[in-house]
Amino acid sequence: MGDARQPAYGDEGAGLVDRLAGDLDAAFAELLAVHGPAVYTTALRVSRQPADAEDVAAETFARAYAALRGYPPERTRALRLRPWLITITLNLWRNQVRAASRRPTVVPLANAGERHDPASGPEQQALDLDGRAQLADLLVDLPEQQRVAVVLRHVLDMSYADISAALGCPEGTVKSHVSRALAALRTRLASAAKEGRHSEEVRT
Amino acid sequence: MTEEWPTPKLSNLRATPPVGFAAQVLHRVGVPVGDDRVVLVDGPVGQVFVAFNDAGICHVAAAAVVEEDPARFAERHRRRFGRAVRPVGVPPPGLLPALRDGRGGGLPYDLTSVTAFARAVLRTALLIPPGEVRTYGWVAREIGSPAAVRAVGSALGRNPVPILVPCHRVVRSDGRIGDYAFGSAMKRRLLDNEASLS
Repeated sequence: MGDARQPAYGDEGAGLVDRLAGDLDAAFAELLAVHGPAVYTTALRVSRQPADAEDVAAETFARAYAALRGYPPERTRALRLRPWLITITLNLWRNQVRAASRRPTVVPLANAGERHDPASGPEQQALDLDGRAQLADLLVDLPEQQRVAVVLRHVLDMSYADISAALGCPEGTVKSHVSRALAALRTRLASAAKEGRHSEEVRT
Repeated sequence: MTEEWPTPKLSNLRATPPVGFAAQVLHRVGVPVGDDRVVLVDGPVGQVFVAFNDAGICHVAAAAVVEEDPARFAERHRRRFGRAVRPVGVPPPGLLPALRDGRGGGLPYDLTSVTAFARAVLRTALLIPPGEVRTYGWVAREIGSPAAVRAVGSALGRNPVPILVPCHRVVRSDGRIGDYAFGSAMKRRLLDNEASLS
């Protein structure tokens, strides 16, 4: 446990590719600290199954480590780490979805993924939980391409160039997925809010 | 683009990997995590030995149960983990406030010595705030194994990082306090201390 660095989601970790190219074992913990949250968030928000999300995230870093072991230093230095890792995450997730469709379904623990923020107080946790759980539920209902695009753009705050690299599709396509996803979310949030007001009126 | 509705706050959906995630990956890919080191620090009810490596905190013991003797802690550590541990003077960042406030949730842990089931149990125990208690059955339900109450009890009993991961906040459903690795009396003192703080 070195410094307790808590990097921002947008922080690529200046010079991290050079450190990985120089001494992979020494720098790998930093890769986990810098990109672990984005990789885990992606797995969690596209799938909504907390246990699967942890497996997918762990497998992502295991694959990344194996790949980096085999890369010559110049290839590691040329990597854009976040899009590269997110591509691995999404591929693993799609493979898992395909495999799972051939197995009986496991019912996920309700909201289990929302529960680990033990730093904040219980009341704040309960409030956060409601809003987040609702938003996460709405996200899961979106078509896959829109969901992935909006998670990368607005949850992770990735640039369109990076998303385009991660998904291997043109920026214009990404933008249109994102704007459709946002439009759908706004509509659904608005109607959910209206329903909420109605039920308040009914109660009082 | 004009926005009629405010953009939903999607950044709220950012999540952090589960407790112990980094350690799990580092062990899996075989990255060395450095020597185990141990510090002796003030805990909520007496001093504690806390052992850690580059991946996180791996072992906690009340100093009283090893007679405040670093050599006896080292013996206990080697028996449990098969590794040596070397005394150091500087605690890892965040340890002292976590012990003082009874909030160990933000620290990195190396829980690779226990099973996936036990990790799920320990992560759930971390959600219980100081000053509160839950039952073994509650933990079993939270991890999705409502019938595994006894298994939850043994996983908590073998908690490698007690006090920080607050297994003492899990009690019996009949109102009795239940077992504790460092004795029921210590469990009672920890709970009384937290009740007096909140």
